[in-house]
Amino acid sequence: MKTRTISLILVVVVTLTGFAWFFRQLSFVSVGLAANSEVQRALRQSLSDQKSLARSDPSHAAVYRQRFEEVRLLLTRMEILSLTGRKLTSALEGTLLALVALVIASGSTIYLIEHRRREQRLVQLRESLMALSRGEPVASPLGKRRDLIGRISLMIESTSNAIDRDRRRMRSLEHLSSWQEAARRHAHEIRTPLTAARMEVARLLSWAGQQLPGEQAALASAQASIFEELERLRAFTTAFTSFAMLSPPRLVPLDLARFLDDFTGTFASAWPGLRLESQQGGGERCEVMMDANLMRQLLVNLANNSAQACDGRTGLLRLRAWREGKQVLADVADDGPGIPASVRDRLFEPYTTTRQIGEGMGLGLSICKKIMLDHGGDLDLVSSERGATFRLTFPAGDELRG
Amino acid sequence: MAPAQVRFRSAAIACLLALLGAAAPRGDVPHVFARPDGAILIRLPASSLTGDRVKTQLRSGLTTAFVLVMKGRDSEDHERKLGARVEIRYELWDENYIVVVIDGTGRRESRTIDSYAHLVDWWSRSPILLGAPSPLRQSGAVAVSLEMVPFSPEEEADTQRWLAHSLNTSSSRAASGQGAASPQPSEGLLDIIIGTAIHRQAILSFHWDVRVEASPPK
Repeated sequence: MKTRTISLILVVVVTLTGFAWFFRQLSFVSVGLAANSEVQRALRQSLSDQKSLARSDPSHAAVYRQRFEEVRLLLTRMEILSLTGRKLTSALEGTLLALVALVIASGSTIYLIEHRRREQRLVQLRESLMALSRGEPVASPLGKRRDLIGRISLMIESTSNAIDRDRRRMRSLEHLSSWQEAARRHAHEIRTPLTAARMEVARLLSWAGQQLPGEQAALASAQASIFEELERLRAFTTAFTSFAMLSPPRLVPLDLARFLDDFTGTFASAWPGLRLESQQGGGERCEVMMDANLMRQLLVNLANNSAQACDGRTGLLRLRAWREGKQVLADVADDGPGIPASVRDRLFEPYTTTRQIGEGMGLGLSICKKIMLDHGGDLDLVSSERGATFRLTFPAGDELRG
Repeated sequence: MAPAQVRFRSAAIACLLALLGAAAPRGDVPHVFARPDGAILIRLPASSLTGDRVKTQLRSGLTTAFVLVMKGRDSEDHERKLGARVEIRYELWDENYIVVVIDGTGRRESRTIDSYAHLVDWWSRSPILLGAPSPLRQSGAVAVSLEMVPFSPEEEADTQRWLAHSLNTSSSRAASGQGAASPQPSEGLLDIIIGTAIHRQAILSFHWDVRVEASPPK
């Protein structure tokens, strides 16, 4: 800092001295021309000549007199310039020197202010890096300036966001994985006694039929009732299994916008109370790496939820994909009653449902979330004025391929 | 020579002249005298008009003004000032001097003098009225100063306009092929500098301490 200040002062002093010296040389020349004795002598000679001419040619005396007066006026001005030249030079020098000093002072002030600001921003940058190293979230503190420091700050912020996003994804994945493990164990624990119970019930009813031949009808009714309940338990276990045994995606490059178009065409009449509408505009290519079967399963799950939420009236499900930076986003939005605020926070947790007990397992959105996390993306509920809007986030396909 | 050296030399010469003036014979000081009607007049010494610098200035063709100021005290011992001005311009065509005297009462009188010798003669013989009646004491010490201003306000204004116009419009005039256009008032920083620098200022001054005499010298 000290060296910089000394250098700055030296530059200012050398510039001002050099300018003063240069201008002094220049102004001495210009004023010297005006006060030049030879010029004045020539003008005086001209005056003398005009007078001589007037005497020798009286008929044109008026002309010579006029010329004489013109030269005399010029001579008067030259005389005054030679008398005041030094003062004029000094005034010009002083003014220009003051102007140059003002320019240099302004420049130096701006430089020093900018330097101080840059130092402050560097300190903030260092604090951001420290926060990043501690794993804390970093918000860009350096304004919107797009200089080197500003760009580095944005990179830090972007890195922090990416780390935060990955951390959340990992948490979700771990959470869902533990749920999957629990579901797998429950399914296993239920399935074995369920099979045994089914066989024992069949054997018991067969024995009872032999012992009580007159009660065949009552026994058949009891068998149907018991088997219906056992079937419900089996379906419950199957759902557990499908959640627990979710296969990893087989990723291939696909255009998500086109996929959504195809989906709305194929499933146009799959839900009688739900109209599907694809809103792809501009022909923007939204290439992602995805498993088409899993993605179809995800969309079917979401559409099922929307169709059930419509509760008898005709609903509309809009699908739209677009690219945003290094990501491809897709919104699946219905115009139903929306998600109650009470379940929004745990919407993607298993066994969370808004339906009546016995009408659903509450695993559909968990499966959807897992599918998206397995794609390296995410699934979120975004706020909307009406209905429910789910946003699918994919890393862009070209970014993944590098 | 550097301006500082010039100033130092001028100051040294002025001091020397002042010393010489103090030691000068009686004829080199002005005569201040009171008339019976109470008017105070002054008669300037010829030496104040015969110096080389004054002679050169007078021959330049510019209107040279001599500003005369006399300081004294009135009967109540208050300082009072009286003044007069003499303007001399050498007419280059007619080769004569046009002299205008504005005395202490504001009266203006002009005359034409045909030669420098006659001008010096007139200068040393003609008394200039400073006040009638004078508020000063009719006898006592007075300080007289005479300053030579090298050009008139009209010449000053004309040169300012000409220079400003030349600097401001020289390029456009050259482009349009016009001749010497008449000077017009212009604005800007350059004009302010010119107005400040080209300004009337005394280039020579004389100072005397004399006494008011009762009658004109022989």
